Amino acid sequence: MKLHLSHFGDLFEATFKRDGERLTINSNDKSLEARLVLARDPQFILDVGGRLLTGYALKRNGRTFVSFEGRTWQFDEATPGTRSTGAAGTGDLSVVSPMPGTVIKVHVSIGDRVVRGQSLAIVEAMKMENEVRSPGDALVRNILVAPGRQVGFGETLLELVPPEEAVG
Amino acid sequence: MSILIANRGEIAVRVIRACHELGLKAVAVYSDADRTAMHVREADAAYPIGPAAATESYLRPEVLIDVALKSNCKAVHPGYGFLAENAEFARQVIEAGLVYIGSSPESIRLLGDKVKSRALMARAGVPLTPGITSGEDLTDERLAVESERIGFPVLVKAAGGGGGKGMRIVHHPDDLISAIAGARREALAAFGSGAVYIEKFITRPRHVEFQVFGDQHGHRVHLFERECSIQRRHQKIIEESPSPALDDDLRHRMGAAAVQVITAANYTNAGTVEFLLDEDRSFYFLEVNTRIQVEHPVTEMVTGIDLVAEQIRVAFGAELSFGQNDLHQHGHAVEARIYAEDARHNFLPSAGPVHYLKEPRGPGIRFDGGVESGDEVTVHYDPIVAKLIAHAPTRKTAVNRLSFALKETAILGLTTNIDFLLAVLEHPAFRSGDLTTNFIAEHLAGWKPPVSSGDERNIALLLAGLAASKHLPSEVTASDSTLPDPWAVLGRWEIASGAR
Repeated sequence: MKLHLSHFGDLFEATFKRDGERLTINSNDKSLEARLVLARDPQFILDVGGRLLTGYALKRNGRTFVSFEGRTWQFDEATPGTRSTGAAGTGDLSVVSPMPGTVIKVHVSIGDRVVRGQSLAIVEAMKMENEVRSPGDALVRNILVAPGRQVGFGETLLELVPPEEAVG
Repeated sequence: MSILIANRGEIAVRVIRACHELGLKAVAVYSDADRTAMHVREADAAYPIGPAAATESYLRPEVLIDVALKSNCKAVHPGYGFLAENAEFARQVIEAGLVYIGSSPESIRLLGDKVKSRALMARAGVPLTPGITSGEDLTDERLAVESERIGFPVLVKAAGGGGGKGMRIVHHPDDLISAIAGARREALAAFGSGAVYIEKFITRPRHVEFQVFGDQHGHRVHLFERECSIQRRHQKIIEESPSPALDDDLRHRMGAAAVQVITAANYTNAGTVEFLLDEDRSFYFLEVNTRIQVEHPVTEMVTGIDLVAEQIRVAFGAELSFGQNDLHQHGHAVEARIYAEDARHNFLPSAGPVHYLKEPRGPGIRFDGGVESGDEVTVHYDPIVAKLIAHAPTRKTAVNRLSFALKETAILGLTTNIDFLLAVLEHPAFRSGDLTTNFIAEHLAGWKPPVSSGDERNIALLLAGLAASKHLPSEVTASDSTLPDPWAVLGRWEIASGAR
């Protein structure tokens, strides 16, 4: 089985083989063999070269959660051959909410010139205010939210264009 | 007899356990978001109190008191957060003929006003950091004048609450006015009052607090210290007792000052007196938290006292079941707060489902959780998942135990701070007890999870492959039949073999 997964934007391609209790994974020319000692969903006990290891994994709604020895991975399905995550097409930039919460302030107006690091808006969640800053020098092309608006993780708050596009 | 738990999450579960151990029934309340939450499942009865937003449910005194009366409760436990330090709530509870499990409304009001309580402590001779210690006048102009007087950097703090909400450090006079505005907004959202004050910012302090207890018969004791220097966004994430910084002499002096503080405020029930401890071993009174603390378990582990059960007894008029000379510190306890948050991205809260939660086990391990497998951490409330506490004879063993227990914990579905907590616990400066409230900024700024070795990444991918292949129908039957018999992997075994 081919796996195309992304972990916070890093892309992984791997081949997973399972033949009874013998497991093989191949990624980036590195391969690893293991023996499946016990599968008690979502707990898996692996024997990796004589070392017994307990891991946890389950897949829900296209996302695979993995945990072992205090480290966790969140793998999303990725389309083969594409670089994952990316706002920009032709230089337009969407500024997205870093978390689910409530917009409490928008500092800029459409047409404003903003500089890298400038605070554009404040999103509050769990009584903590979080500044949303401009990723670069740009011009505010559109504002999609107003104070009081509930926003989800990754929801677009504003659209920016590079300052040179604004000329004319 | 029944007690109303006016809270949710892990602290509600903790209080319910104490009620049951005392032979009392526990009545829970829940918002629309918490209909099937763990605290509801653990309670003997549960009542709805409104929509998910806390302001429309857990923060409505009249609704909570109404439920308490209708369900024949005799007392109300506020937990921490929400209405736990709200004097008006305490007053209304008592006025309704119920017992409030906490201090008197008068002392909560006095100590809840950080400016008035500083003035009181100044008169009582308790050491204070320079700053505003008097007056009702907390205008921007007054704060600016006082900041110039004591000198920058200064700390802008909410007069009406704690926990780092509504707090700003200001290094330059130019930034003062905007910092005050931000602090006022945050304080208003968190505590219902936009009043803020300022005090001198101590550059490299430790946060050392004393657990205190008073009863209605004039007995007042302290239950030693907790060091809570490891903080992010001014919120504690790792706490321990004893503090590596105190010796018997300093512990004795700070403990005496803590008792002096609650005596001056005529305080009863459980509370916490917070101090800043400077590098030169001077200590300054910070504030009193008029409630049970998140980190109370470390004190319970080293003193062997059930603080929540004692809160309930004392609230009903019992004398403290211990005197100062009965109290001793046994061994060392360390707590780590497991939060649903992303340490990679400035500790932003992360909400979501808990598809699976595996709790750690072992000697000296305590796991105070508020969610189980199948539950959800929502955006509406504090993103704490659980508190993990390790107790051992020495600090070194306690930290090792906590570290192993964190590695054994598995939470699938949420981003948690477990890997970050491990990075703190494994840091040489933490190991040597060299702590300040700047610890994270000084040692772990811009922290990223360690780059996985190839093998580590491949093991993660292999586990991902196992999770994915499980959902392919053709493989499920094929592979399940080839799985080893679980008994077979145990090796040689005999039933009831060997001598007794």
